[in-house]
Amino acid sequence: MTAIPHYQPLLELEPEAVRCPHPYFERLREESPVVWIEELSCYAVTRHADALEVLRNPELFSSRMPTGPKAMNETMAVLQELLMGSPEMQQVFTEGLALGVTSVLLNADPPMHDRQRNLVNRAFSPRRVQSMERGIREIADGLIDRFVDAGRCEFVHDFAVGLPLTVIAGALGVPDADLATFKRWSDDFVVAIGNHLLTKERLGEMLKSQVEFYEYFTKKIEERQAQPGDDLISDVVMARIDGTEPLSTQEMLGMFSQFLVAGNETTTKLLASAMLRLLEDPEMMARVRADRALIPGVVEEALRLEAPVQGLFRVATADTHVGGVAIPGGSSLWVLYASANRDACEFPEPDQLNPERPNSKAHLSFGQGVHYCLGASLARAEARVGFEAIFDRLDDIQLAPGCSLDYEPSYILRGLQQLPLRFSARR
Amino acid sequence: MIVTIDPARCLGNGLCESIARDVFEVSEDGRGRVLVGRPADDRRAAIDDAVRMCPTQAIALQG
Repeated sequence: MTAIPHYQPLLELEPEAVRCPHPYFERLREESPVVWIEELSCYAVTRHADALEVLRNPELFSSRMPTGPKAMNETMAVLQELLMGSPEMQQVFTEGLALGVTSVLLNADPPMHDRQRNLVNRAFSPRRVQSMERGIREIADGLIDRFVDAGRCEFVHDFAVGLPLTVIAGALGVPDADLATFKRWSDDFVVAIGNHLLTKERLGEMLKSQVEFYEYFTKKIEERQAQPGDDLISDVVMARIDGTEPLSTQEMLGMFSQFLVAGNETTTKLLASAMLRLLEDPEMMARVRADRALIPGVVEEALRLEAPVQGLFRVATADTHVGGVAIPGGSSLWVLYASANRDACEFPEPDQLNPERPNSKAHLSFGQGVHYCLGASLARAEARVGFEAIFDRLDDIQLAPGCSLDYEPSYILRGLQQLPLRFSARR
Repeated sequence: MIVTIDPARCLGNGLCESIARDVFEVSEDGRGRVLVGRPADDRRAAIDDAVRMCPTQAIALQG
């Protein structure tokens, strides 16, 4: 049969398919839950049970290429083009390689991964995050201060971007004066993730930012080694476990850049999608405003329904089977969190936002298994505290009339590009 | 019933603590520990949840 696969619009990133990929995922779950996708050179895994099996087996399913073979090949191709005939970029690239390219956390496998993860867990423990909550609320209020009297804002740019960025910058010891530079690095790092509009120029900027980032944080690491403080960098720098090799500078730099990428864009998208869900359901908005104890449940359901990371990739290290389908060793698998999150076998009435859903935390938006999101507690706290601040300070929140809701054209990240709001200030 | 955490699997993610604060705690050094090894029967449902929700399947419930 030579028919075009029904999910073609999704692969071509057609705006409507990007805005709502779920009908495509549903058909895949029903008809071909584990299926080879030629365009992405991988098997898509769409059911919750199958995704769980893959994620829980890191020895069999390696994380060495977490953003997938296509993204990797395209980045390599653009990189080659960039380096050919540009001695300046060759220099930048070599410096970057020398400073900090190593397998760490997201793209590392056990046993190396487990050693690294065990050393940094304490930095993001629930207790640590709890001690950050007052600071998070101050940051949220500071952001709201800037627009509360205007009666309007662009929620993504004016709040959802600033909150996680400022929180992680603070945790990494970046002073306010350097925040704009920090944001530039963050934007540049995200460029290569599931974005097929990568140009030579953008990749060049990313590499330069990477070198600047590594030089900046190498200095910070040295400062903390000389004089440890009570912050994230110190936690990472000073981490020791008896009988375990401590983290190398390269490993630490790799981690910090992952914290930056993993902790920003994703949380921004969570905040915006949770807000949109509330805007589209005024009854729910009113319920939550009246009973703040519902906020965590709403946040969790927003995570499930609008997974900021739609899916990530694994590589089979041996011939195996998933969901009854033979997977040759060396094949890439696209583990579709967003699809697993709507699997009715796991979540009855999967498309309903139910803040009291008993198993909403079974979603895969933070992954599962040993790579479960290190920043999950922090992300949940930022969203909860962020919405508490919003409900405390803003009344009568509405979507601005006549706005278009456009989504990021990406395989990997899902989220709104803008969310213009109107509201009145609470006195 | 007896609740245990396998230290080789535990990564201190804290979902257990968020489900049953009285039974589980992630300590300052990022490791999970059981506060009440033999909890009362009325905690069974919550502990079952924690067992299922643990991302690294580090919790065991016997009896």
